[in-house]
Amino acid sequence: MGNPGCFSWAGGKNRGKMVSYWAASATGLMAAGRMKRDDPMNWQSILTWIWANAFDPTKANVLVALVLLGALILYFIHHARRGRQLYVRPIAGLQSVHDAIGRATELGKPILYVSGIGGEGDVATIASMNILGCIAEKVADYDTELRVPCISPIVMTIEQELVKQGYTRAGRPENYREDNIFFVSDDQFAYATAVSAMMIREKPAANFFMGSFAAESLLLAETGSSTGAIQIAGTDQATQIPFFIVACDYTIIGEELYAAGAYLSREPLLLGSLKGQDITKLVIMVAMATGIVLVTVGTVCNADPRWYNWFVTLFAV
Amino acid sequence: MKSGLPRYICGICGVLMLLQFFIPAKFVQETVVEWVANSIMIVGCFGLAIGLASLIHSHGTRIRRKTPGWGFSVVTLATAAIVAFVGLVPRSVTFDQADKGVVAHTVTTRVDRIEYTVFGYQPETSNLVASAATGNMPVQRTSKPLFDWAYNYMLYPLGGTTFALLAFYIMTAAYRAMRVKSWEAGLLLSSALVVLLGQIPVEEFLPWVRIHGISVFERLKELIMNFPNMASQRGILIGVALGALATSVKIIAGIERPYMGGRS
Repeated sequence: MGNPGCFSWAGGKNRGKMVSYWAASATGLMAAGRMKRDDPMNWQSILTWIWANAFDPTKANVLVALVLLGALILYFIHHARRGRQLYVRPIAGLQSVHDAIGRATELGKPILYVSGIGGEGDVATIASMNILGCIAEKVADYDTELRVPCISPIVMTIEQELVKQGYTRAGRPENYREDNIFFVSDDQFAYATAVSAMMIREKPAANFFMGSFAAESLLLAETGSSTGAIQIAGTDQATQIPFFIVACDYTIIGEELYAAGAYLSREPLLLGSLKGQDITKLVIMVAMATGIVLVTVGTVCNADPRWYNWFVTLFAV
Repeated sequence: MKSGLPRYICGICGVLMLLQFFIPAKFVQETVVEWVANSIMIVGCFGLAIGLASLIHSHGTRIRRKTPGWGFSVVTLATAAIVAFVGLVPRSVTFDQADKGVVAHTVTTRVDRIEYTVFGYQPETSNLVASAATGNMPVQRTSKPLFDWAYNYMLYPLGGTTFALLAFYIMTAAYRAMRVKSWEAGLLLSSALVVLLGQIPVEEFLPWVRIHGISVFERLKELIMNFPNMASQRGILIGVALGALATSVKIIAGIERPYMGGRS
């Protein structure tokens, strides 16, 4: 190798020959031309340009982590696809979903499903949609009414399609009623008020609050609680979880919301991704424990900070 | 093709948005991100039309069938129509903030901040103008006086009222949570009491709880909030981040397809 940062093929059989080159970055910009293969300046400038524009080196650790974690998840999905049985720990909130639907069926009352105030791009809303699909399938089986008030018209459109698919999978497409999945308002408190009023008027037997919630979480959950409905809630918003725990019968906490779709549907592909998540959590726990031990031992032994800081900086963003 | 094309579009868009996080090029950080934001706005506009259609359909059905409470549906539709009309009213006033030290790029005529309009006297109360008046933000704002009035004096207070109800809901929820039915509930109650006492200047009334000038409850509160509380919150956050990552991977790979009404 020649100068630092250059790409010279010293000793190669093509050294000194004129070659064509091209370099493209993900930005769509491209450089091309002809040059001597061992000309360090040309290669250096190209690589410098690509390095400066195509990739932010301060985010290299994020990219490595992303690739590793993504690969782990895809690996376990692949395993599941090959038919390997995967164990998923019981989650009380999700086990009770069937009981709640059964109760509503016995009482002949509707089920209310609220997918939060997140938009279609919110991951919690997407997870909520997966749960809705599973619940719709079960509800179609029992021939119970499912009411889904929406805060976003786009989310409403997607949820209409999801519920329709659920009814179709259950073999009851004729029972699907598009009117039951409707837009209410895109204002947070107007939506909360309308849904609370619905709960008081229609007195659904089971309320599901799954998705992204903010201040309206307690308004909805307390109103539902006062009507005597069985309530199951799940959110990834750490600040709203205590409200749901207090006011609902079962609460799905944080990541369990993302696992719910896989848990309810029992699809091997989705269960595989859960296993991948668990392994990545194990990796993170090991990394955290290693960091704690290194820093503690280093501090107690009064060691040179460089001795343990290299590990800490691996995770700095 | 019918199911494949949306999947490929979703996968490609997902990968592109992922890559833009790592690419510092100005073209990507400005043009592409702006293009995505504009696309979302365009989709949102179509969504608005869908939402309006759904609103009219669901409330129209209630009115037609005379279901209990159909009068509220009449009010809802009438209000929606009135606010939409007011928002589209052509009579508008353009504000120029030049006299407040703010540069307006395109405004050529300056008018007073307070206008007499067909709807009467309208003071300007929006946060946008208030922040523009104090900062250096260039502003060209077209005001719809009655629309602003409806927003500021009707919707805003109604939202505030609903939000204020939260205080009472918190009280009832706290009462229910703190009934000591098990040792876990007892633990929760004692922690809550310590945090509550740590929040108030209890040492002013009970000097004996002060140790080295600080209330013992305040120290305990910090202990509870900084260690068990913070640890559990971070545990939830790590799990949420991983769950979001896994969900994103599944959507990009086309394993989960909620946008098409189901899974693969």
